Amino acid sequence: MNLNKLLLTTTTGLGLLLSQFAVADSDLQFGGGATATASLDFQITIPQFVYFQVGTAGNGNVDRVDWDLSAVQPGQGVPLAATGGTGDGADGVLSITLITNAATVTIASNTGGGNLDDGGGNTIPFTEITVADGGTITAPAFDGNTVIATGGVYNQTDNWTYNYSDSSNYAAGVYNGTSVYTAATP
Amino acid sequence: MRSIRLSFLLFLFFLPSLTSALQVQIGITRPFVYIQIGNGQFGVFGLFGPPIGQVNEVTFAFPAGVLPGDGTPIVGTPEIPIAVLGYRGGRRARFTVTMNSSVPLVNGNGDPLPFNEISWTTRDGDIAGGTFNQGGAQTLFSMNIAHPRGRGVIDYMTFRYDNDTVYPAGNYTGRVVYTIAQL
Repeated sequence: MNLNKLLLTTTTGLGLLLSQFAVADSDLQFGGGATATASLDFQITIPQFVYFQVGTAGNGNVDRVDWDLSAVQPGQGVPLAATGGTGDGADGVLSITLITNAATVTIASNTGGGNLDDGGGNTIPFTEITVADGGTITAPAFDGNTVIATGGVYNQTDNWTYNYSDSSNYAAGVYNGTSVYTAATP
Repeated sequence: MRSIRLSFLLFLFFLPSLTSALQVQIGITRPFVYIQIGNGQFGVFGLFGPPIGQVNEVTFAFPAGVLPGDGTPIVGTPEIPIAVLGYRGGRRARFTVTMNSSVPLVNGNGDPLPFNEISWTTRDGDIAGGTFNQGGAQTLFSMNIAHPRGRGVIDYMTFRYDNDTVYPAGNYTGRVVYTIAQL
């Protein structure tokens, strides 16, 4: 340790000098049992963030939920569970994670038109597909949104389960569609 | 007298560039205690020269890529000088310095952030580093030596926010009060 020492011998001069120290965050007190106080302020700016995971973790990973109706009579109005898919969507149940320190989060769905299509001009409306959450992270309807009040810090997981309503007959074909989910903070 | 006073000022003017802390011995012979936290307009108001009415503030800003609660410590700025001096009479310098960090930082919504998320280091350990304990009288430094004049220490503190817990977003402010008491 490199220790520097200072010696001052003129009491009067020091007293004059110290008298100028008695400002807000410095304090000089004389006398037996004296106390003196000084303060220091702190400021921490915590930025807002949100982490949202739908299905397989990783930016750009898009899972798919499939319904193969070849084994049933279509249009019977009986909701059908998923029959396959890709990634985390293979069982028709997607794992959802939402982490944020924002006061509220808006989760929105955007299907880009509201329909699945077969590439040949035939469509099935997304309203034929239902989504049910597990009661923790509210799932928005397709092309809808939900607002979640976080209470300040939010770190939850849930499962969103998709079913095909099968309420109508549609032209035979393979229909595809994508719902882009967004979690937005104010 | 003026020349001595100026030499003292000039000497202290260069203190911020020193790499080590400073032990101070002063020629005052009646009991006193002195504490200073922070710096300011040197040469106008004294030792480190804080302007009247101003309490220094340590700020913590998140660098790009660091997320709240990811465990990456955030270093506060600026480095804060601290000076504690005292003399109790009877040829002894005896005092203790305590800190009150019991009131947490709060943001605009009233969310608290406890002071035990903040710790500090010093340049060379004459004043030990540590972590605020949220208590009302945490000991920072004590001196008890036989000496015919006032003695004390000047050091420089660098503060760090642990960032190991997620807190609600916002701008948190809080104050720690340092007290020097003659014993």
